[in-house]
Amino acid sequence: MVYQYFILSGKYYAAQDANIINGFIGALIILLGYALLQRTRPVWLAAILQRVYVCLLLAADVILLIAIMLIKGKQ
Amino acid sequence: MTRKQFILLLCLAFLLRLPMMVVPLWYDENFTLLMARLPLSRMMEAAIGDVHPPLFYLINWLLYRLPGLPVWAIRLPSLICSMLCLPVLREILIQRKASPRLQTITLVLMAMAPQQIYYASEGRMYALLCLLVLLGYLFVLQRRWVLIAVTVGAMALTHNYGLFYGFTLGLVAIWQDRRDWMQIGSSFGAAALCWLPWVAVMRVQVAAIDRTFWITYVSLAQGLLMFYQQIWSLMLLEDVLTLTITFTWLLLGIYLLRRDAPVLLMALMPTALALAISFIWQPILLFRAVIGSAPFLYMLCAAVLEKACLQKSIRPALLAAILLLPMVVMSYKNMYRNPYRVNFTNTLAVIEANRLPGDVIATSSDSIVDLLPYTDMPIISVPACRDNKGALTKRTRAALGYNFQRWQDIQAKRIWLINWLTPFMYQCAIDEDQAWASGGREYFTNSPSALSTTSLYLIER
Repeated sequence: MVYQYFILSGKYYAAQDANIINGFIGALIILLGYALLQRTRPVWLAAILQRVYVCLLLAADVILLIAIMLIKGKQ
Repeated sequence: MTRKQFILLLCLAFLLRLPMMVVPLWYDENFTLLMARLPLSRMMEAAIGDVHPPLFYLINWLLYRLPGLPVWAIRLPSLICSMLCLPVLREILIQRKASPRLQTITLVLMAMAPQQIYYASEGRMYALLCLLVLLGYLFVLQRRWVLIAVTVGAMALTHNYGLFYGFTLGLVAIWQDRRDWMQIGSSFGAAALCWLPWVAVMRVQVAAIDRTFWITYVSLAQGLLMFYQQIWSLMLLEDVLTLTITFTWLLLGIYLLRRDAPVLLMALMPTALALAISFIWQPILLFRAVIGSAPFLYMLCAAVLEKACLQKSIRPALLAAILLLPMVVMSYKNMYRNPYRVNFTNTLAVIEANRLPGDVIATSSDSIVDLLPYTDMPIISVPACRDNKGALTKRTRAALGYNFQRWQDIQAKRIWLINWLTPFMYQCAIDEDQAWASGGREYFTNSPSALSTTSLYLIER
């Protein structure tokens, strides 16, 4: 038996892998959303939706940033 | 980018790298230092017993023939290589006819990326590997066949990942113009000949690390993480937010440069090869060895930022700044505050403050590598029931000058026992350590990182 080895492979890497996959899927969704907006017609609707989309992304960014800092602070 | 701007960027890069130069050396760097101070034959013996090719050790060995060099000088070759990467990358960008804006952004990324700053000040072979990959790519662009042979040969003798870069460079050369197949074949054949003497040694090394290597895990997600770490190194938390932003950035870059096969090959192929071997044989995925792909990943990132700057509106550039600046600030804060360099400086300071004549240090771990350069006390290597994963081989330990003694054979009256607990130890070795320590007084236990715990005991007989 290897000390902590199973802890490492079972929990540490699994948590890390979940984060990575979530991050990658998040990136794909963002790009897919942006690509769809590029194809939206009429143009004025696309312009409005693009602004809403970017604002939502920024809001999500700020919320996640605060959440991460809070979690890190608690640790 | 004008000459004046470039010189300013070089100064900035140098200043960013400088503070990391004086941080105490960690285990891997102390290993390089010990190697550099050995006689040549013993140094080669230790290298043969280890897992890396010898070129970087030879460079440091030559450097340490100069008398009176301080220990941090072991980082000088890496600093020089990292600084040289910038003019080489600039030349590549000029050859590729990149716009001045794209040149500037790529070079700024290369100068400022935490991954580059960190490995510029580490006494290991990664900055040299990065420089050689860039040189190899430049010579492929220039069709300078002799220089390609020398560079690719040197790459393979610097790090085993050099083979992946060499293979990828070969593909790039063929992609560039397949009519050159004869020159390409001769050039890479000559490189293989340079590397050939090391093949026999590598076979022994491969057999030695089979199932005992310290890298124990592989997954597709870990492969993706390699790309993230080429920018941020280990300086961010690998949380969903920074991962999402970075992957979006890289995927956009891949989309923008989707027709630029050479850059995509250099950016992605070496990791894909390492991932394939990790699945087929045993895990070898190592983010620091992917550093040779980093400049090409920066080219992808730079293409995105250039596109953002080219827009008539300032908003895309502003958005990029809002997303990226907090990450840059956080990663720099982590890098300069907590340099991730675990060593035994504190342990040794406690021993030195409390030692008496006749005292010895004993340990079953390779913490000896961290102690040998800094103390004149006798250090005894106590054989464990089973060596931990990634432990030095007996051959390397003997060449480094380990003094082996069984626990019951140690004659000293006072023994400073160091227990170094890592995730790669076997339970029987931990039990042994605890049995030896049970008769002594615990001085301290600390965990400088989540994966490393050090305990110091004084055993008086």
